[in-house]
Formats: sequence, C-alpha cells, structure tokens
Amino acid sequence: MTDTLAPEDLIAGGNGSLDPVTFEILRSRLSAINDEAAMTMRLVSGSPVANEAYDMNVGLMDADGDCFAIGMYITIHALALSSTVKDIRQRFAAADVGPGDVFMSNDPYVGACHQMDVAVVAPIFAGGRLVAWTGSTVHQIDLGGPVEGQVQLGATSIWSEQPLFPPIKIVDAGELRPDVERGYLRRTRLPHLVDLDLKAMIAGCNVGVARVQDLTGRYGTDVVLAAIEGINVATAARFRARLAELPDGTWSHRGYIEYDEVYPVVVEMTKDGDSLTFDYTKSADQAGAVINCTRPACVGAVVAAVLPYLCYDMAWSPAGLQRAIDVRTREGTVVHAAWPAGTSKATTTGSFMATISAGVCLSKLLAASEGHLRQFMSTWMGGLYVEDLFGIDQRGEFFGAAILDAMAGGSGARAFADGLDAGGFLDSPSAIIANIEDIEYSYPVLYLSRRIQPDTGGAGKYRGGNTLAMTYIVHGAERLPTKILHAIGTYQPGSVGVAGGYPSNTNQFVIKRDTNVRDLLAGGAVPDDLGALDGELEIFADPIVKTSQGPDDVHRYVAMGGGGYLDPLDREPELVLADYVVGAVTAAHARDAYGVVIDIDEMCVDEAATDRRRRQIRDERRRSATVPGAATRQRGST
Amino acid sequence: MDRLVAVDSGGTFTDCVTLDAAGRIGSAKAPSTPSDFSEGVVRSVARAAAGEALGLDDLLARTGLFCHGTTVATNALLTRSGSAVGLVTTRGHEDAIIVGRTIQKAAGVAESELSNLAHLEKAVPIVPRPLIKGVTERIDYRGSVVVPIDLDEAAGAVDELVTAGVEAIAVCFLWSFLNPEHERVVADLIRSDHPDLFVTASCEVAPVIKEYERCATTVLNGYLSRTTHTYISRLQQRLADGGLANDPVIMQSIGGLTRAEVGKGRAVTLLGSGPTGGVFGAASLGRLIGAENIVTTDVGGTSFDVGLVVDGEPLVVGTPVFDKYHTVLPVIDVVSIGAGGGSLAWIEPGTGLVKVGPQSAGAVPGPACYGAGGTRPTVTDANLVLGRLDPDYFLGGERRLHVEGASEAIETHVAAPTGLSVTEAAMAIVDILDARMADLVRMSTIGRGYDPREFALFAFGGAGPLHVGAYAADVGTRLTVVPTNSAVFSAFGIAASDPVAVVQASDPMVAPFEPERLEGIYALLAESAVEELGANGVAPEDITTSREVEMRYRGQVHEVRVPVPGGPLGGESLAAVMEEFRRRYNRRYGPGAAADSAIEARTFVVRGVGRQAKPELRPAVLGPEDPSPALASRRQVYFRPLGGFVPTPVYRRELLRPGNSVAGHAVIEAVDTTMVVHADQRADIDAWGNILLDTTGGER
Repeated sequence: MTDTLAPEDLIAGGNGSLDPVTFEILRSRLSAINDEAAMTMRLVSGSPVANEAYDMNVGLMDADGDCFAIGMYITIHALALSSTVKDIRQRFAAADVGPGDVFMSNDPYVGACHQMDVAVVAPIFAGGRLVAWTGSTVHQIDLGGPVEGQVQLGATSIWSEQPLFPPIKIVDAGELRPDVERGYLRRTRLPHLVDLDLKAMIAGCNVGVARVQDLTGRYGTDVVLAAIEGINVATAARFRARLAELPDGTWSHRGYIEYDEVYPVVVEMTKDGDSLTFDYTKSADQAGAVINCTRPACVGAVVAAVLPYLCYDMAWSPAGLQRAIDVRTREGTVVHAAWPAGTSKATTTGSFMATISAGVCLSKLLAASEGHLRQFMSTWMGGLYVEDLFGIDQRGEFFGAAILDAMAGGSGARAFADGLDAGGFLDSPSAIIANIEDIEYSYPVLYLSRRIQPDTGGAGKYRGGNTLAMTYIVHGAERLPTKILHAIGTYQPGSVGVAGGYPSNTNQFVIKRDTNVRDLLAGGAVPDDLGALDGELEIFADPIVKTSQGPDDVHRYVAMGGGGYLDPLDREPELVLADYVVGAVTAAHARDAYGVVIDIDEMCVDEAATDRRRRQIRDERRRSATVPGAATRQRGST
Repeated sequence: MDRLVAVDSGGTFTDCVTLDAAGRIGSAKAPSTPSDFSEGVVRSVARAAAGEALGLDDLLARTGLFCHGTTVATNALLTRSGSAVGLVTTRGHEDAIIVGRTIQKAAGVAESELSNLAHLEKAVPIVPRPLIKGVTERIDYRGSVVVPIDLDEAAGAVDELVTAGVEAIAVCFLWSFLNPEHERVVADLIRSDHPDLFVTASCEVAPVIKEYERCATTVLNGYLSRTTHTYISRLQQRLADGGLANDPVIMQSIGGLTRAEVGKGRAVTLLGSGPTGGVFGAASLGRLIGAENIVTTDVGGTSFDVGLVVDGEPLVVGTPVFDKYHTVLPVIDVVSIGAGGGSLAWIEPGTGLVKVGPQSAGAVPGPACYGAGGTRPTVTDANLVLGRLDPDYFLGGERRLHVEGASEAIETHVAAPTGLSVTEAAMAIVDILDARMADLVRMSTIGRGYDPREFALFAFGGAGPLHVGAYAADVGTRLTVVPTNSAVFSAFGIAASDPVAVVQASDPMVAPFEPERLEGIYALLAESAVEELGANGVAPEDITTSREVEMRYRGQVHEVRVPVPGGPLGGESLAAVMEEFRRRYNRRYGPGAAADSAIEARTFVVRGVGRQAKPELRPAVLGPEDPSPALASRRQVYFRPLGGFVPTPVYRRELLRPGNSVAGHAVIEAVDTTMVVHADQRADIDAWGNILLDTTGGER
C-alpha cells in the first residue's frame, strides 16, 4: 500500500471492512497487546538492564515486517526488529516459517543495533495466513568475545568482537530447540542471566502472538489487517500534518565520538513542506571496530529522536513515520558501517550520537516555530557513561554487572522551564536507576555518596538539568578485578546548548588510588568527596578504559547534564539565587556563567555587582568576537 | 448501641451507610465539604438518620461502631498543603528523594502522556532541599556498622531544622531495616529535646529494603501528620459532641480499619484509601454469594478503577505511587484510567478519528447537558442522547439534564467533523469508552496471570451499571454483579471491614533458609501486629494472624508474595513455601519461565485481623420472577442490535424484589444510578438485593 492513500479511503471506504470506531478500538487494543508483551518480558527477565535501565523493547510488525507499534522503552529497537523480520522474509522459504516458530539474531548487518541487543521475533498466523510479527529485544550483559561485556577493546574488525548469528530458529513449531539454546549459552560468561533473558524475550513474543490471534478470531483477519495498515497510514498522515505546521529550513549539527581519534557525526536536516530529510553523508569514515553502527541502527536512531520531539501527542508507529522521513547515509561511515567493521558499542556511540545530533536539529526546528515552542527541548544528556564490572562477589560467586546510575543525566532546558535534574535520557522515558541498597546487596561495593552535582547542566535563561556524581569503594571482597569504563562526551560535552544556551559538563571518571579511606571510616568519618582523601588521582583521559579497583581505591564518576536554552545573562538573577540556595549552582558558576553575584552572608543577589559583572561579560564577548570566516572553520566546530 | 455507621468521604460526595441489628441497610449522600470534610461527614449521617426518622444524636447514641474512609491525606498531598517537614539522612545520600531514581518524572503517568517528554515534571518536593540534612553514619548490607552515628552532628542538624521552623522531622538512614540503632537514637534525641515535633523514623513506618521508596514513605508520613491529626481530632470532637460513645475507626489503604487515635500517627497509611472500600466490599459480598475471584470495577465521573479479589482476598501491591512518589506500603492494588461519565470526546487532528478521554469535564463546568457552561461533549451527554439516562430523573430529579445541550455539543464536536449522525456519534463515544474499560479489565487480569472469564465482575460507582452490560460481555466474565446500593458501595465496604494491622520487615537472605531465623522474624512481627490490634481494643482471642514472604529468583528484580503456613517452620514447610513460590511464579510469567537460580527471601509480612461483632445481612425469600410491579414507564432508548431507538421498559430499582427477573432490553433506574440491560441479557434480583446480570446469552 502506498502512503498517498488518505486514511479515510482505507478506513471508511476502501474495502469497506473497517469503520472508524472499530478502527479506534483495534488501534488501542493492539497498543495494549504490545504493552502487555513488554510487561511480561520485563517481569521474566532477570537482568537489571531490562528492569531498571529498560534497555529493551517490544514491537508489532505487519506481515512484511514494518513496525506499527513500539513500546515506551528504547525506541531505536523498532528498526532492529523490523529489519530482522525483513531479512527472514527474504532468506527463509515460506514453508520454513510456520505457526509456533520463533527466530533470534544478534547480527547488526541484518538488523540488531549491536551484537548485545539480541532480537527475538515470531510470526503470527491466523487461519494459516501470516498476518503480523511480534518481536522483543533485551540488551545482554555478556555474549562472549575476548573482553568481558560489550566493549571489545582492541578489536580491529567485527572478527575480533562477539560472535554473530544471523536469524536462526530457536523455537520450532512451539518446541524450544535445545541444541540452539545450548550453542547460544555456550558463548557467554553469564549463562544463567542470558538464559533468563532469552526466556523473557520468548515469553514476550508468545503473549503478542496469542493476543493478536484472539483479535483475529474475534474481529476477523481482514478487519485486523485493515486496522494494521490503517495505523501506518493514519500515523503518516498525522505526521505529515505536523510537519506542515512547522517552518521550512535546513538545520545542522556536528557531534563527536571519541575513540582512537575523534569521529564527527555530521547531520543536515531539511524540512520542506511535509517531508523531512536527515543527511548524514558528511559523517566521519568508519573506525575499525567498536564505535560504528550499521544503517538500520542509524535509521532507528533518527526515529528515536523524531518520536519525542515531534510525535508527543500521537501513537508511536515507526513505520508510519518512516514513510515521511528520508535518511541519507554513506556506506563506510561511523553511522553506516561497511562489512566487516565492528559495532560492539554502537548504541552508546554511533547510533547514540546519531540520535543526539538529529535531536539537536529538531530542537532548532521547534525553537524556530512559535506554535510549537512549548515542545522545544534543548539537548538531553548527550553521552551515556556505562560501567561494566566483573569479579567475585561477597558470597564468593562470579558476577557480571552493568552500573547504570549515569542514566540519571540532566534533561534539556525547555522554552518555559529548566531541564530536570537527574531527569534521565531521551531514548527511554521510563528508565529507572537502581537503589543503592539493591546494588550493595548484589555486588561488592559501598557507595560513599550519590548526589546531584551542581553546575553540570548547561547555563541558559533556562538551564539544563544537573546530573549525578557518585563515589564508591570495594566492600565485601578484596578487589574488583575487572572494570570497563566507557563513555563518549569525555573530551567535550555531548549536550550542546541551543540559541545561546551553554553546553553541559563532560563525562568524567577518575580513581583515587591508595587512599586513606579505610582509616577515615575507622575514625568515624564518611569521606563523601575526593578532596577529603589522601592518595593519587588517576584521571582517565581515554573514553574507554579497562582497569581494576583495589581495597584503598575510591572510584568517582560524574555523568552528563542537559543543555541550556538562551543566553544565561538573561536569566532572572532571583532564579540563579534560588538555584544557589538548593545547591544546584555554586556561587562561582553563578558569577562566571550567569554574571550573577550572590551576597553569601545576606543570601541575596548583589544587584549592583551583578549589573557590573554582566556588562563586563558582554564586553569580553564583544572583544573576543571574530568575523565568521576561514579562522572559525579551521577550528572545526559548528 | 446496636448500630453500625460507615461514612466514605470523597472529593465530591460523602456517602453514609447504616446497618441495624436485623441487618437492614440504610444509606444517604451529602455533598463533601473540602474546607472541613468533617462537616460533610456529619451531614451525611444526619441525612441517613432522617431517612429512619431519627435525629442525628439519636442515631449516634445508638451507634456502637463508627467506620470512616477519608481522603484528607490524599488531598493534603495533591494540594501540597501538608506540614513543613525536615529530613535527616545518611551523609552523601541527601538527594535520593529528589533524584527519585529518575523515574519520578514518569511515575503514575499514563502511557499516552509519557510520550510528551517536554512536559514531564518531577514531584513538587514535599521536603525542600535546604531542609534535608546529611549526618555522618553508615551501616552496610549485613547490618554491620561501618561508621558509627555522629550524635553531635545529628543534634546540630536537628537544631538547624527547628530554627527553620519545621513541624515534623523524618529520619531515614541506609540499611536501617537491618539495623535500626542509628535511626532510633536520632529519633529519641529529637523526641526528648523537642517533644512538640512530630518525629517519624523509617524503621518504624516501613522497614523495607529500597532506600528511595522507604525514605519517600517516611517523609510523606511526616508531611501529612498535621493535616491528618487536625482532621481526625475535629471529627472525633464533632462525633463525641453528637453523642457517639466510642472512638471512630478509620479505613487504611491496605484495607481494614484502625482506631482514629492510632491513625493520627500514621497518616501515610491513609493515602489512597479511597478505592479500597469497594474492593473490600466486593470480597465481603463475594463470600455471601459464593464468588471467590472477583474483578471490581468502579466507574465515577472521571476515573475507572479496577481491583482484584483472588481466592477471597483483595490483591495487594507493595510499591504504590502517590503523586509521583513511589512508596513501600502494602496497599490494595487498584489500577485506574481516566475514563468515566465526565470523559470528553474529541477528534484527533490529522486523522479525524474519534477519541474519548482521558481529559474530563470535571464537576465544573461538567457535561454539556448540565447546562452549567460546558460546551464539549462527554460520555454522560452521549448516554443522554441515546435515551439511556432520563433527563428528568438524574439524581432522582435533583438535577435536570438538557438534551439539546448534549446533542449540540456532540453535533459540533463529533458528528459534524466525522460525517456521522448525532446518534451514531453518541454511540461511537459509548462504544469507544466501553472498549477501553474492557481493555483495562483484560490488562489487569491477564497481565497478572489470571483469566478474566474465571472471575465474577462487580460494577459499582455512579456510572458503572450504565456501561457494565457492554464491557462485561466484551471481556466474557461468567457472572456480573451490580450490588445493592451500588452508588454507595464503597461505604458499604468500609462497614464490612475488620480491624487490621499489617507489619513488615526486610531481611534479605538466600535459600536454604534457617527455620529459626525466620521464626525469630515472624515472632517479632506478630508481636507488634497483636500489640497494634490490642490498642484497637481487640481481645487477643479475637485476633488471627497470617504470614507472607516476598521472594524472588536471585538476580531478578521482581518479587512474588507467597503465604507462609502457621505453626513451627521446618525443612518440609519451607520446601512447600518454595514450591508455592515456583507455582505462583509460573502462573504469572508462564510455564517454563521459572529459572534454576537460587531463591531469595526479602521481605516478611504479618497480617493481623481482629474479628469484630457486626450485624449480619439476612437473605430474603425469593419471590416471583415477574418484575412488572416495578415497571415505571417506557421510553425510546437506542440499541444498535435492535435497529435504533426502540420502546424500552424502565423499572424502578427500589421496587424490584428478590426473585424478580428483568429480560433485556430494559433500563433499571435508582435515585443515584441507572443500569442498562442489553437485548440478549437478563438481570435477576438475588436474595440480598443484588442484581445478577447474565451477559452470556443464557450460556451460563
């Protein structure tokens, strides 16, 4: 079916099988089915990645594999599931795809976002006819490869990353294939956890299959098929109407991925009438491994940005959107890897930066639209810090864990209010960080502090949200032998400001070695800041580090805040004072970034000094301003 | 002193139910009085008294037990009118309640609103950051002291809070549920230095693992303390002045009553107790009529609330959300969507599709048919246009409805844009609402591993009986019940409740469990449950206790509640508990989902119930089937399967007698509610006065 068909043709007229009320009922029911599948999968999954980070998703696809419903979790997965189904449709004989079958794949060149995001998909048959597909995916903590966890340090191509498997049948006509399961679990260091997640993904698919079959039994297959197509057509129509409300123009952004060198991700977004084009062709050539993403992941990344910025009031149907969006990429780049480039960390590098960059362009588009200015958001946490731990826990057992506290990044400033402190990240509105008591019960660590870090949100008339900072020591074990720390946004902040707003802080991780922390604790003090400790500070300059932590080492990391909006010199001084009072900005930052001088004794704004300071900053800006030209371009910034 | 009076005070109406020794039920409604809710409570009782030709003081003087459900705690939270509360917590972890595990912005937000990221907000803080003080101390995951409490620092922090003018102080330290020593000494210090402050420690309110939720629970208790205390004292006074001899008892969100005097110190356990009465009422009524598994549906003006009763017991959730704060309190699990009589119908821009809710017209201006300034169409307007509601008999004629206003609103906002006729548009609005209700019933049962077709469905609340015929048929429940007094059913449920004390504590451990350790934990919990019920005036011989444990597979996040049998624990009984865990786990997550990882026990629960003498309801002798003596009129009502508007018999609910059987299509009207019986359905009045609706087309 083409997207030129108006929704009313399909729904009211067309084959005449679907009235608008039945359509609305079926649309809501299909979305409820998808929610239920997600709930089932989350509950069965053992992994905190699924249950807390919600680095997972479920989707429903039409018979051809176009995704018409995606859950409120990591939205980029919509395309992964969709591409995996399309590959199965192409590669498997129709006779080899039957009722009760379930397929799995972790191949990014087929569709998975990276090797860790295993996609599990199942066809849905009604009366012998293939009517739709359901799919689920959960990020896995370990799937083999030379290095524990996702980041294959030292890999030069995909050959030295986690083993790949293109779509294989894991459940055959309702029977789990023990040989395939065994082969899958053989490669991981954490077979228990990985097995639980596999069962969870299958359970999610089972729910989707059973409920859609209930629906076809009740309403008839043709009616359900018409509703599915209707969802795609209606979403495309609604989305095109939204585009038509927005101003035309071209906006661009250049984001950076730090690795062995710095790889720019460059996007030019053009909005013309009711079409939207994202052009990534000027992005850097690919790296050997680790940070690249494949084309399906890049398209998914664009959808993941468009949904929250432009589809805030409509059902989330990625296939409908795709009909109005054109994503241009060049093969052989960090956002469109050419075989055999590696992709093991794609979701926090290539595709992550593709989403952030598309988001910056969309925020500029909204900033230019009076009618939709209230939907504007400056950049949300533009680089996710992740920490993979492996070792022996306090009960003497081998463990693997991902510490994901850094998901509590700052959200972007809005056009009517500040971003949220510890607001989370754009791709997963429901993300949740673990309680410290749960972390300490499961893993051999003790947190000295976990606080909101002042000054980390980008300054602005409306400021970006601040993020978290944490310090912890080893507790209940001698040491943490393997810590893999990785993030982008370590050289420069990923959360840029918009329209004069300032960027956030950078991601920072350090270990203070051989400190006196044990003595201090024994002496009745809790050193909740590195400054309170003796020892040698090891600052990790590289964005990816493999290290260990001994009994006297204190680990500290600061995640990333959100970007600001408009000039901070225009922020109401009283709001800066209020931030100072609750500890969201320091007096120094108030003076430097906002030009607001706070009288600390009187707890008030020194108005005369503020006035002077703001004039001084404006003078400095005038003096340092240069004529746009060759000199600026050479610096290579946007 | 043979009377039982139960009053449920809600946002708009206060409902009163009375029971006499013979089991006769009386009821009355009065408008709620938000400036001082106790006024509306007394008024509703006065109206009930008048219904029996008694004075207020006559009724109160004869009342032995006065039960009350109140929304004051919920209101104080929603309007942020609670106490100035300070928090003393572990140094380095002061921000936990503000970080809110970052999900705070999405907690309790409907899926449809979640996509609007730019407008998600965190909770409006109940404790401002400057009133949160970190104190040097640290306990670890074994309950061992890593750093002892610095009492001088604590005293300094308390002084700063007092200087800042707090009325209450909450104390919450990491791991205090394993080792409460640090919290206890700080709480004692405040109590001795500042006896006028309300002090609440997390180890007293919710000694449960999960520091954010435990902290939020503790701070909420402090935040709500003054409002709740003031309200309950005022009510006690008014009732005592009116002649009530005993202390009233208050409904808790876990279900079950507690003495007003006890409730004053535990405001947080009253939060969200509103929908609880209905679920308990259903469980109680279910015992009478032999329904053990029940889906309860409460349809009001703005929301549709669904609860479950499984094997005779209301289903409990352990981490409820209150206005964006996750807490750790076991409460009756009620799921809610914005769908009710006041839900607005609208057209989705871009697609032209009809949508209903979640926005509501509210009490003001209300539906277009109220003629009070509302111009946008609601579900009530649609029901009126379809002839299901009688414009002259809404609230017994107290409020006249305007059919033209309703038609015009539907014409302008739904019919014209879609090309449907006004009648078709009205039917579309009702169909869409009915389908959403059926979806939620299905999600609430199937999503928890239950088959709704094995459940009885109870419908109550002002608008429940209007819609239940459609959504019950859609879900396929086997038995549908519209209870007698369905419009005041929550108050009935409060009347049917017993004194309850639920005590819990976390002590995470991995199997194999040591029986002595478990016995020790349960003995302590049982002791405090019995003590609390004793303070409620329950004699020890009238108390029964039951035990539960929250278990999970090691490495998983979600817990499953499992009953633990009474009597001494040993290898065999513990093996049975683990087996029950696996069984429940499989039921919820599907066969084969069970893992072979180790099993953890995390939180232990003791529930004490005090038996309380109550008047018993008596069944009537069933009379003839013929309902025609209750036939009031016939009017044109729209039924699509019958081809449109058809003459439809209208029965008076109060004239229907046990044994009567009303065949659809029909309408049954009471003063406070209207019920639709569809063409292939039958409504029988049972011996207790309930309407049993057969939606199976006679297959039942």
